[in-house]
Amino acid sequence: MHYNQIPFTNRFSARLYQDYMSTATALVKKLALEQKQDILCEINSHIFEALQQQLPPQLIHDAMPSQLQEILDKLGLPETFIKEMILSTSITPSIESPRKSVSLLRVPIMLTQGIVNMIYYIIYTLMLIAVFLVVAKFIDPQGVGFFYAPNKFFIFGKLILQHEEALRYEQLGNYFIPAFLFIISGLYYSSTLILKLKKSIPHKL
Amino acid sequence: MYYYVFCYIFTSMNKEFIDKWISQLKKGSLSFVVLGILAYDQEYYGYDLIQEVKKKTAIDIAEGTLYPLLIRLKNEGLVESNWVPQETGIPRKYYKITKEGQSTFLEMRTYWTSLNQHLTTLTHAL
Repeated sequence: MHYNQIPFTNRFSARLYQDYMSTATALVKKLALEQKQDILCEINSHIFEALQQQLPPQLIHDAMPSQLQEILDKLGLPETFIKEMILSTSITPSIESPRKSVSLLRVPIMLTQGIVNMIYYIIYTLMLIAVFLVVAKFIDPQGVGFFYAPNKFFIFGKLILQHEEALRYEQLGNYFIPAFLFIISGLYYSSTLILKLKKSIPHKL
Repeated sequence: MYYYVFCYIFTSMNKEFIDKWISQLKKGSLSFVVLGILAYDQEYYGYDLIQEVKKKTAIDIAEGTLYPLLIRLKNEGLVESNWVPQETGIPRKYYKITKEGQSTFLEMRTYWTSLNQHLTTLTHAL
């Protein structure tokens, strides 16, 4: 069964509907055609029935964006409930190989989770190093910095052996701590973004 | 001052715990509720069923969460569904309880009644 799109006269409502259905279509694209159409028809039918509760049949196509948005908000983000629908669909006992479809579907989820975890730990480690360097700069203002001379030095951190030539090439000076505070806040912001992304990935089948 | 801060922290922790407990309870009992609504040999389409759950139980669920549950119930053979074309051009998917679903619901209801009795006895004893 192919789903019949609901035509909207208001272009913002049409855009809202198209965006929602496009996200849904992208999420179900790996399913078999029949399962894919079943889920899309179900969502489409829900939106249409909800509109029917708010508007007389002849005015459904004139729905305002706020009315459609309210329906979509109540339905929930496609990324959350459609993923659950897909996972529920995929555990249907199959005659050929029931375990194959489950494990194959988990592979992208596991891979995404692994990559997200790795990025998170790298950002977290960099943040710890940055905090350590700020503290180190307070303790040893001369020995910590950004020492750079073309073809000679590239040292970003603490000098283990302080020799005078290296000290002359310190680039950041008094801007070292503000620069690092800026880097730390950037890393902190990135780590919260990564955590949000991690929460949106389903953990199990 | 410290006493009030402590009370505030404790109350918010308590509220968080209760909210989580209520959410788990709702989630856990949703399949029982859906089977209960369908048990009276009436067919419902998705949107209608969600409204019925809200009306009969006052459970305020995110509407999308019911569809994965319906798929699971269908996979278990407890409900069946069929698409019915409509004059509007947008078909409805009607859900109906199966015989297995009926007997599963009766079993669940027996357990629920017994649990309810025990919990009532327990809470009255406090």
